[in-house]
Amino acid sequence: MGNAIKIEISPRALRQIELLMSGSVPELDMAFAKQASGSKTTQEISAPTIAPTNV
Amino acid sequence: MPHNGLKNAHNQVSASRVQQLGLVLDHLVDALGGDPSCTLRRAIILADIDENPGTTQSGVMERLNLNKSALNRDIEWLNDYGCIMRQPGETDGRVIHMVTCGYSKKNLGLALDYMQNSHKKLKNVLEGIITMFSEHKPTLRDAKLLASMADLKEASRPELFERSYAGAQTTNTRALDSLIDEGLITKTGSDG
Repeated sequence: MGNAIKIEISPRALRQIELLMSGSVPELDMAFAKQASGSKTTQEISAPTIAPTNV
Repeated sequence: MPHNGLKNAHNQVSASRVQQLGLVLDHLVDALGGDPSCTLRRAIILADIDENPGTTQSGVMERLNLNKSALNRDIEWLNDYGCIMRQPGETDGRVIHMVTCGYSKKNLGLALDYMQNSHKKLKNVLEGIITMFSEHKPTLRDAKLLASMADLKEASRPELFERSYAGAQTTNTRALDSLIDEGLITKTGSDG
């Protein structure tokens, strides 16, 4: 009691999920995108990285 | 079933987009034999076959840019669990065509209800979640924990696990630990 560790979602992960569900796929934070080519599937997602725009 | 249709219609209006992601994942678990340990990749393969009825394995490979051995395992699994049917081609029996069927097709359809019936949107969402993981191949359980956290914002482990799929405590704990390792969920200390 009174000693439970809380957990929270990272702001970046939350933003990514909200973008995904809003259908804003081209606006995805591609910093998440892996550079390794082996695991990519759809062309939209595997398109070359777009630099994060947040400053 | 009409009940599911009504429930879906209700949820589409009342649930937030983040909550809808959790519902989509629930339907995908149902579409994949009730097994939340299935990878999101497998769900994408199922969606791709549904989008392209009669497709061949090489067709899936080309569209999803997957290697043959990885895809073989998933196709075998989908066939064994009755998610797809495979039929030899009429003109060339060596070519095997695949279609989704039964409970799998029905539940995938319920998931698609939240995606304006767009397989492309569903695949993009799943692929977008996969790209959030750098070292780990995410499962539907991982994605559900992430979606639940996105809805709760902050929670204790028991609160989060209440929203997860049934399974051994260690299974959920391991899944959560992998999300923490990936930096998608962070510990915020104690409340005491």
